[in-house]
Amino acid sequence: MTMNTQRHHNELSQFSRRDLLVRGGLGIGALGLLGVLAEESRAANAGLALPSGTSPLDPKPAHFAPRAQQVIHLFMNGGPSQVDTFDPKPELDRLHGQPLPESHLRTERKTGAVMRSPFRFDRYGESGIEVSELFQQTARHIDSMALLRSMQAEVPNHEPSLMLMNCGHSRLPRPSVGAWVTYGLGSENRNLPGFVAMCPGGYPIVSTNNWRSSFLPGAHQGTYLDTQHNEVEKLISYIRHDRWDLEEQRRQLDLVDRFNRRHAGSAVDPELEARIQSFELAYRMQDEAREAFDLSGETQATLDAYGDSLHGRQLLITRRLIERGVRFVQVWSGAGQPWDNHDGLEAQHRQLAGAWDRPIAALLDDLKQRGLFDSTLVLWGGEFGRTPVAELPALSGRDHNHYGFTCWLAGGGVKGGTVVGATDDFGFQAVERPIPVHDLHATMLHLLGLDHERLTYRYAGRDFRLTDVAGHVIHELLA
Amino acid sequence: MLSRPLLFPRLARGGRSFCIRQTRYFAILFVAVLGLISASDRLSAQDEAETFFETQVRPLLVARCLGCHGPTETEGGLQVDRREALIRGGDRGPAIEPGNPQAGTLLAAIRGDDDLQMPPDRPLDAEQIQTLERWVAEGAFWPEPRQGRDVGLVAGHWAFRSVEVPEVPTGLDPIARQPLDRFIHTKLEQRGFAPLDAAERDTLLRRVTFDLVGLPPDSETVAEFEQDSRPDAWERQIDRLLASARFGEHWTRHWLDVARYADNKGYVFFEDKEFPWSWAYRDWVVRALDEDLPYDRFIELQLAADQAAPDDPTSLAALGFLTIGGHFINNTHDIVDDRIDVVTRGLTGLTVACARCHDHKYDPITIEDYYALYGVFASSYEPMVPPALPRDPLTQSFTAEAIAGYEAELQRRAQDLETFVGEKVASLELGARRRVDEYLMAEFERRRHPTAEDFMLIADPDDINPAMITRYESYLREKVDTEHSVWGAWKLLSEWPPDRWSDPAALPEAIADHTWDPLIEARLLANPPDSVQTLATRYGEWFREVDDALSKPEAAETAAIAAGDPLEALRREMLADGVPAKLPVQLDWGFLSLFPDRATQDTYKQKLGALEAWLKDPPEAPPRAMALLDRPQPSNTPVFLRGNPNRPGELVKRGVPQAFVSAPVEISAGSGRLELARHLIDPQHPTTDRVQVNRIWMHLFGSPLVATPGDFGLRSDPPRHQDLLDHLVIQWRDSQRSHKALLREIVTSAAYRRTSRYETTAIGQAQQGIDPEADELWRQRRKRLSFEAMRDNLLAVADRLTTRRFGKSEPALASFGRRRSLYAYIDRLDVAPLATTFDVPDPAATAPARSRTVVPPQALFWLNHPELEALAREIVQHSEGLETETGFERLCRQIWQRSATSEEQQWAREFLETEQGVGGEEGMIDAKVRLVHALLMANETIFID
Repeated sequence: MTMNTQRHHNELSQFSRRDLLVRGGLGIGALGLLGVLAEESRAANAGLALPSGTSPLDPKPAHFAPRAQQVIHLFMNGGPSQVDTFDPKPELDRLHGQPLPESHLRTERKTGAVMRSPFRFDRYGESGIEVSELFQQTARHIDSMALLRSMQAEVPNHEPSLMLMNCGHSRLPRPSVGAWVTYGLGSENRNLPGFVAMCPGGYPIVSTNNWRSSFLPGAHQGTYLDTQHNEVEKLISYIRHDRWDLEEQRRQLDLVDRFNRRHAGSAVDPELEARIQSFELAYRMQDEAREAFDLSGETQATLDAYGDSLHGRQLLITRRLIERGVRFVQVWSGAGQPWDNHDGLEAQHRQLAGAWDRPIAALLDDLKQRGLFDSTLVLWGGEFGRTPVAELPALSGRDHNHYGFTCWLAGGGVKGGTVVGATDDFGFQAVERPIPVHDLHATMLHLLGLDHERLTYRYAGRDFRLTDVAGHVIHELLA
Repeated sequence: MLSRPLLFPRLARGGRSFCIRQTRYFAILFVAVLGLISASDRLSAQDEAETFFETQVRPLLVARCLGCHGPTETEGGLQVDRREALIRGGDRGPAIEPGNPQAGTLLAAIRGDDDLQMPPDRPLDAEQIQTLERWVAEGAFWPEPRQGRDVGLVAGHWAFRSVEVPEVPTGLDPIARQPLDRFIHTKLEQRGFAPLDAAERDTLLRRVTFDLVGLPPDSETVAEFEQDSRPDAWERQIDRLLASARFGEHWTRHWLDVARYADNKGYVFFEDKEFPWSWAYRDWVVRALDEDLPYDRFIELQLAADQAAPDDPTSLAALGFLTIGGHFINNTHDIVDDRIDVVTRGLTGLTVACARCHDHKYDPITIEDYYALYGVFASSYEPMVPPALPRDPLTQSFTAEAIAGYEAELQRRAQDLETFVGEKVASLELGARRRVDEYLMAEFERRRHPTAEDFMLIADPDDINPAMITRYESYLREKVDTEHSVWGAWKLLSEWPPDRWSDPAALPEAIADHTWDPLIEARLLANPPDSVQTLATRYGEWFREVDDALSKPEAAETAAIAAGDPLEALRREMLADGVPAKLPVQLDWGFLSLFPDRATQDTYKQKLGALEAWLKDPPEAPPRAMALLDRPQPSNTPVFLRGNPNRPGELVKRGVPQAFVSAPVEISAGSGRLELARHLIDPQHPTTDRVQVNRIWMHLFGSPLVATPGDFGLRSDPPRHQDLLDHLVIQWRDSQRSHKALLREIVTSAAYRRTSRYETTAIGQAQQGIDPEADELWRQRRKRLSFEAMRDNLLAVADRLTTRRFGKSEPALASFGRRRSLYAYIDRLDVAPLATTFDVPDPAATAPARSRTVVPPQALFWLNHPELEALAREIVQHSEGLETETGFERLCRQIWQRSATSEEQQWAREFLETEQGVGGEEGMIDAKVRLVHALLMANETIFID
């Protein structure tokens, strides 16, 4: 055996079907069994599948028993203020309008005196964790949530921080978390993309780089949906033909199949077979994808719970995608950087959180009711937080803050009612158990049954990891 | 073995292999150790030291330190796996000083002298500490690596041995058409395999046409070839294709994967994200490949056309290879890194970019190699007004006046920007001289609250400059110590505890202990400062005094304060090269990070925007070469410890990676790009040619000879047919590195022409069971068209493809138009999802090979993309009698370049009969469209048999 043949995945995979088949769990001898028949058992619950090993999205076993199977990442892009949401700081009330007694940290822009939170904090649940009125409905679930109050990014600028949170590196082009996860685990539903990124009204800053596959195969890239639209045709590229109906397409596909069978002859060629099957899958997808985005079958009670709003609709679609086995769903607040409230924070945060609070609470309820909560990992957060001091000159908003901010996790494997880490008395800087973004990523992978040090991809002569050379699992939040 | 010269002098420094932890290397290590034993039959004089090291020191380091300070983890920036690394040290400074056990962080940490106690889990016992103390005291002996250990591993690596002429197997080989076949047949014979026969003529012509020009043959050519009974019929087709105007376009697309080609910079803050002339580079590549420019010249021009072809301005466009990379929000270090990567990994299959933070973990690439290359690229710059290329004679003929008017306005806008930048830099330097007190206090603050990284911030115009604070901080930390004549007092006194300031004896003592500048000593004694702030204020006053003196009119005439002048030392710290207040003027993307205030940025943006617009918008604007030129004063760069530019280490002379240097590469003047290019194309370089020949093979056989086309390092397996690869490399060199000659040799071989259909013979079926990937090359492999070729094929069979070549990029790939995919705009910021779906690589970095995935979204494109139906409809409109046998036969020849079978005829007839059931005339046309569309979707359309 030569030194490279046992790698998890490496450059060979681009060339060697045999290698793929071996990794897919089939020996060389099983080649002849490939094809439709061998796949029908799996097809029963996941739609028809491609020959094993030929699709990068084949479900793959985790490294160890997973606590969660799927991920929902609610991305509050722009940077929500931790001291106005999940990290109460009474000291800010006391010192409102005065300079910070301790050293004033430098952020992107100039900041002045302490600015108190305009929002009321109350205790929720049995854990009694304090949450601001902005997320009072979400807070009903506080005993199912773990707050990470000591998150840290590297710099107080949007672009690198988005890249860090999404791809694990501030500047260099690396695959996104969703791409890594679908690379590691594949996806359970072959009629839908494995990784969906929804952002209404256009792209966030740095656009599609946020969900890129980078050096991983293109199939792991997030599929972008502009959820401002309702119609499935605008959501998914080429999801149906403009003029031909499914019956016409069926007859056409039958003809293609005849040509393809004649072309293949008696050869067993997994690549030819894979492409034949991909047409069958795509054909079914046209129905299933439409169905996944069609909310008309939901009960009035469900529709009411989520609310008739943009985020309500986004999260209801999210739940439907999760139900259908999509591995990773990322939901954004909107194009640009909506939470970036350098001024007028009170009104804008109230409006933004107001649009999210009820749908998030409804989503968590819904997941619980459908038995999906324990197998789904929900992450809420931005690329960084905001300063406890007011930004000059308007003094009505807060600047970016990478020294300390809050994210929360809920769902599969997460110990609810938990607070991990703490910022200083003002919420400026993580002082207790600082959590670098790599630790969050390592923990997410861990909950999905993946060892962040073993989930590697050989590229450019090196084994790359989502967590680069860092990352520690945050054991405090594991249930 | 002992007689082998040390090919890799840079590695002769010890102990790399012992620390590699991965199990899979044990086998290699075992072999390596055997080599060591057999080589060391005579004991040397250093034996005692070596025995002590190997039996006591090394095992201790491995067992207790290496887990965190080795090749895989470098906590605190420290690696303890090499003597040099220990002397270099980590974040806390040098770890050892050979001969001095009182110095260095290593012994202090294991003794727990300071706040740091190592190892953190369990301290070493007294005996172990003594062992390490003795080792350091005796000079920290570290054995030189011998053949069979490190150097042996590297020198023995298949890809690092220089290419030698392999012996072509002799003997009767009736099947062989080229020498290369003999290499393959010898291996086949050894395994008892039989090569399959050549494919049918129509299949062969379709295969070679796609492989050489990326398009299908037209049906007339196929018919001619099938009838051509001349013995050189095949060679005639090859010559025709190699001479085709479509040839360069096709191979350019392959090259653009290597060159990470895109038409824009990716995300940048607020400047124009477009590269207005990326396409000029693309066109240069097309022409170069069409003209069959020798590969060495091809590389030389792409790295250093400004020096290699000074008389040919059009070749400056070749430099786009370096400049069309991403801009990483204009982070200089990342831009340089991208250029190092595309050159090293793209051209030589070696990952030098790994060495940005530490020596390469496996390959003979050091951090010094990286910063030697860094110096090369940091000594090059992109002119704000790039060199003009000739205007397009067809669309750009203007009067001399119009052109003069254009040029004058261009001058004005460029001058306007340059003046502004010059003024801003001058004002920044002025501030750095006159506000020393504020900078010192800012530096002092940062010492107490270090910032993790630099970041972009927004400041007011009258603030002290954050970039300048960093310059002061870095300079004071790295370049001066408490003995420094000017800054020594600041370094020492600013660290005083507060109560020391009130001790009247403290200052005289400090002065007695150091030899600072007499003027500074005198002034300090005359008026002792009572706090860090007052000390900073004094420094500010002194520097302003010097600046005042220098700005008097008579000072300009005397040019400098005379030597021996009491102010001389201060003046030097204000004006000498390398001091914080002396900024190198750079009129490029480094500017914005220097001036974080909104007012300056807005003005800059406006002036830059005006220039950029004038460069590309007016009809008179000529295309320009995205050139890289040498800076007037090229410079060397220090190693950035752990890749952190704020932690400069030893200065490294700019140059080339040392692993494969046969004779020293001297860079006297200039950036060194030309020397770098010449080093890479030197026949002594063992990987450059192998990498390119391997790539060509990959494109023709669907799979490369070396399985990792982007990595020829120690972790790459030798190719099954190494003698074949080396034979091709030698042939390639003999033909002046001609792509066309190499392609001709390969496609005229028997191996290339074999059928891919194993299933048609019993022997094929048997061999397929044993060698399903055809690694032994007993059959051809079925290949799938790349996205670009697939799209071009659709346009070609629908007779929509235009032959127009060159020029500005067209809209993105998703819209079809009439032009070849090569000319589509590639957006680095928003890569077309359709392209990604079909495995077009992300232009973020050089792509050695493409993935080959099969996913349903690809099929959705075929089923539903409106262009597919449109193309099918065009074919129907141009076809007569599709419902007849002759009509369908013509269609098959058009799309698949072969005759229809009788069963296909029948299926087509049945399909049309069923489909036309409704809708009369309209329905019939629609049915035919669906029939044609079905043929387009079929496997046969996008696979090359």
